[in-house]
Amino acid sequence: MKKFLIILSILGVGVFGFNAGVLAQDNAEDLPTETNTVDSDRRQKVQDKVNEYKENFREFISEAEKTRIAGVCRAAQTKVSTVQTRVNEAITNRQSAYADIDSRLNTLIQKLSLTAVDTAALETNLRELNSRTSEVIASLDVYSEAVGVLADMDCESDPEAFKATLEQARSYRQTVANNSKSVRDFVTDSLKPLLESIKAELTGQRDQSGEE
Amino acid sequence: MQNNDDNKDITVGFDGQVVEDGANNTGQLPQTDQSPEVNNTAAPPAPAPSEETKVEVTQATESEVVKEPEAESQPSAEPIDNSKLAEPKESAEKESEDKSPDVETVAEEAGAVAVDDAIATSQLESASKQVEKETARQKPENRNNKKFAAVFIVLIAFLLAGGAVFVYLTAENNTEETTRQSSQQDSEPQTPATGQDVDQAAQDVDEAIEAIDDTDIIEDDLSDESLGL
Repeated sequence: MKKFLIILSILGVGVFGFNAGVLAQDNAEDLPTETNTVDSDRRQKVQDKVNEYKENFREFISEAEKTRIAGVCRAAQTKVSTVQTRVNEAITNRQSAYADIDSRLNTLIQKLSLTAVDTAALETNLRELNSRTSEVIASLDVYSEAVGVLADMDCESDPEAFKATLEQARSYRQTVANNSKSVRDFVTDSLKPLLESIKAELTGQRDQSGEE
Repeated sequence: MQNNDDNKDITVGFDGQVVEDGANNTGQLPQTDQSPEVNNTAAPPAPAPSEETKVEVTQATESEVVKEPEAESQPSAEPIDNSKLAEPKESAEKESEDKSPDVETVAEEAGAVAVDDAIATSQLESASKQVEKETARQKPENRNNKKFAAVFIVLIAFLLAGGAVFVYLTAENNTEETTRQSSQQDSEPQTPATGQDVDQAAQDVDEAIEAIDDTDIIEDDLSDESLGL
């Protein structure tokens, strides 16, 4: 009987452990990816990315330059870590802002559908805007990954890889900046004029209905 | 003469008859060697009864134990003078005080044996009852253990169910929030759009775009100067 009770107790503890594990897993899903990743897997992933960046890097680095980089790269990595934090915050802010724009325009389209105004152009603009904002987010993710690799890699043993990763991150940052500018330009050049025309059309319809 | 009467002993035969044995003070019962005067003085320690006396007592005990009802129902053939018997009774009492195996002693011993048997029987019965009680007491303990195990299993079942419900509700809440947000967006437009709605939308888009601060991805972040390279 005692054995039975002991087994039951173990079962109970196991159940608690299982539930706690499930809850911990649920909570862990909300944390950043690098927190959940095992160190070895993370190291392997960093190394794979470094190799990929090195393949794209064609610049020649002298031995003197390598030595110089190896001496200062540790301090640089500390600053890169703060840049990575800022980039991750930028991803969150942009996702929220773009989602807000999408929500506002969808609401307007639904309201416009109750009027005689054609909403096809606005819907097309919204799809294009969403495509561009998605590109911004994707490029930000790539940029964040490169900055993370730059901050985590063993720069002292391979300064050439550090230089290659840094150049790749700069390239990705430029891509983010270009995509972000593309969104701004689209809003300024296409979306806002379209909204002005829709407003004018609505006003014309109201005036027309008032005259009738 | 009074002393002689006092010294008369009564012997209970195998057939239950009571026989006076006053003349033979020194014959069958060695305790009767003690004279009546001894009653007035402190009695010496009674000697151990002889083999013959033991046999007589044992037989008498058996006969009395077995034939006691007969002795009561069938009076002895020879009438016994009560006055004579009274005196020997007193003597017997005195002698019983002297621990002599007279009639009462035999009767008492026979009774004692019967009582012992009864006590032994009652002890056996009580022992068996105690065993039954122990068994009955152990059964409820087992039942208590089984009840405890059942309660424990039910508790574990409740915990499992609670955990499952909690996980389910957590997932359900997340789904509900997403659904609620989309349904709110879907259910908001109840009225046709006006010029003011379009203006408001354009203003909101402008604010959202302006809220995106590109300084978080400025070029200087990864410059050689800022990194100290």
